[in-house]
Amino acid sequence: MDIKVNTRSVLDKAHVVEVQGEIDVYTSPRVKEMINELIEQGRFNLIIDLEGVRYIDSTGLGVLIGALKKVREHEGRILLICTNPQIKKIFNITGLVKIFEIYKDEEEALKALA
Amino acid sequence: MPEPGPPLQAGPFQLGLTVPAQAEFLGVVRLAVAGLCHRLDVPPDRGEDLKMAVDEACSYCIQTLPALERIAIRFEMAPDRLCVRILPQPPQGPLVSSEQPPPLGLVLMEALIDAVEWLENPAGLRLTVNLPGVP
Repeated sequence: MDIKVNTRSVLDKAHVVEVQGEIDVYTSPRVKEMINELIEQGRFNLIIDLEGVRYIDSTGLGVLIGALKKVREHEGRILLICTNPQIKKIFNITGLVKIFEIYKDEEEALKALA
Repeated sequence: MPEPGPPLQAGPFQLGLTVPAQAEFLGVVRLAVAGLCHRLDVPPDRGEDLKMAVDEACSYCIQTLPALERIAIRFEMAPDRLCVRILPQPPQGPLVSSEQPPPLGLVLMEALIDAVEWLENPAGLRLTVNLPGVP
């Protein structure tokens, strides 16, 4: 039931945050910490890769919403990579599909940033 | 390998699980819901919805009830539905959220399943998923 969060820079355009595991009340602080670290370093264009995420609850959504608010203060963007139908359904139900940019892979997300 | 037994949906039954009221046990709760739904042939998307609703209900209890020690989860299977009661222990006062707007987790819980009832005595929640194919 652990969570893995890796970050890397891509072409000096953005930072990719790869998350693997389940994001819930227990694990979301770790995800929040990693994203906040990047924002504090001045990385305001983030690609958050949720392809390795099997489950996300409302706390996880809250972390993404909080991060989006922070980067927007600096005219930054958060682009999500997500193809899991169950997770996309949660974004639809909550209406978050309207405020997050969701792409099927990193290539598509990078094109959107260009 | 032994042959699988008869389908559990033959008649009503109950199953229980009690976990410490700590966030690290939410994964165990989700596994239990997923395992039971799989065993009962609940359609996968309905099982996922119930799993998330139960997780959100338990998370809500953990985050809002300061004196909470354990959460008892009771599964009640009937031919046409699966009910899950979430009972904070020791018993708590009324659980109904007065927050406006309600927390995102409660909104999700309400949206994902067929019925959410706030129980008073003992205080808790009952979540119901109707099962298809039953007249």
